[in-house]
Amino acid sequence: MALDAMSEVTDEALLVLFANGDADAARSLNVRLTPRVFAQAMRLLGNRAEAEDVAQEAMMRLWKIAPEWRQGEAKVTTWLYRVVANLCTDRLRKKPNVGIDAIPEPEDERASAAEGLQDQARNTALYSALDQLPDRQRQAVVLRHIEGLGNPEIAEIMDISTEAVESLTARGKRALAAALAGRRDELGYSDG
Amino acid sequence: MNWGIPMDKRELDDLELDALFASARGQDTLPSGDLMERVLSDALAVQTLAQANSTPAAPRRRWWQAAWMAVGGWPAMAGLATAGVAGIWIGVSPPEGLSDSASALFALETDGYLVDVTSGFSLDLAEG
Repeated sequence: MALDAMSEVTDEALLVLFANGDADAARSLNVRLTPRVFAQAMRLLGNRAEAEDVAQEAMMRLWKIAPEWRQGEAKVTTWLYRVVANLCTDRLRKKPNVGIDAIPEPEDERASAAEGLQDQARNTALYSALDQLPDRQRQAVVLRHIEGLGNPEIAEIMDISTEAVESLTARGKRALAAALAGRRDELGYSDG
Repeated sequence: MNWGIPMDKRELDDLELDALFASARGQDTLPSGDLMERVLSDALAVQTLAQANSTPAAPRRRWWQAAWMAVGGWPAMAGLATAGVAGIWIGVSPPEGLSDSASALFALETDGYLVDVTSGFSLDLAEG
């Protein structure tokens, strides 16, 4: 089946085709899912090389589980979000915990005034602050506020209630707000 | 209200946090071409391996299994057992018609082989 013809096919159906040996289904799933998986890993880890490793590992798990995939039990994307979150958590736990103050400041103050570099500085500060949050809070905040998922889907991914998701995201946001308080200059919020 | 906290140490409010999240959403998180190729290569390798493993290998049989199959295997044994049980049952409790004809048959054959050894002897004995 041509890739164009597969645009209407669900991820779950493509996975069945993949398990039956359809190489086009493999290509289509790769194009659809790898960018999402990589983006999520990147947002959780803040490191491109590590995010690529996690994305490749998560997709490898998907390829291997394809023959046993049971239709109707879970969405492929939800399953992948969960796998990526767990892989990222494992990596973050193995990393030595560096304090937020250990994250280097932007070297060139004048250059950081440029819009692109300002965004980069904001992202660096945000990810270093996210890195300080407990695992579950970080996952919930990233899925809700950066990935833009709804609470019910996050609840399914994290295997908790929607009320627990709300509580985690609220606490995560408060912790982020406090952690970033000392970095207002870097964030461009010093005028406030 | 900042409760006397210096402006540069004040916690971020919701609007400021939302702006940070929006900046993160706009971050370049496109995967490299190299990653896309590696993932596809993994997928095709897993597919090839799965197909190779799913090809059925010819079952190996021992000589006695081959002999067993040559005489028909379990279906043949079931037929043989059924015939045996039916034979025993007919022997123990023969149907009425079969009983008469069998008796007649055996009686006839018995008569055919009977030899009257006393008819001549009895005369000889009487004559001394």
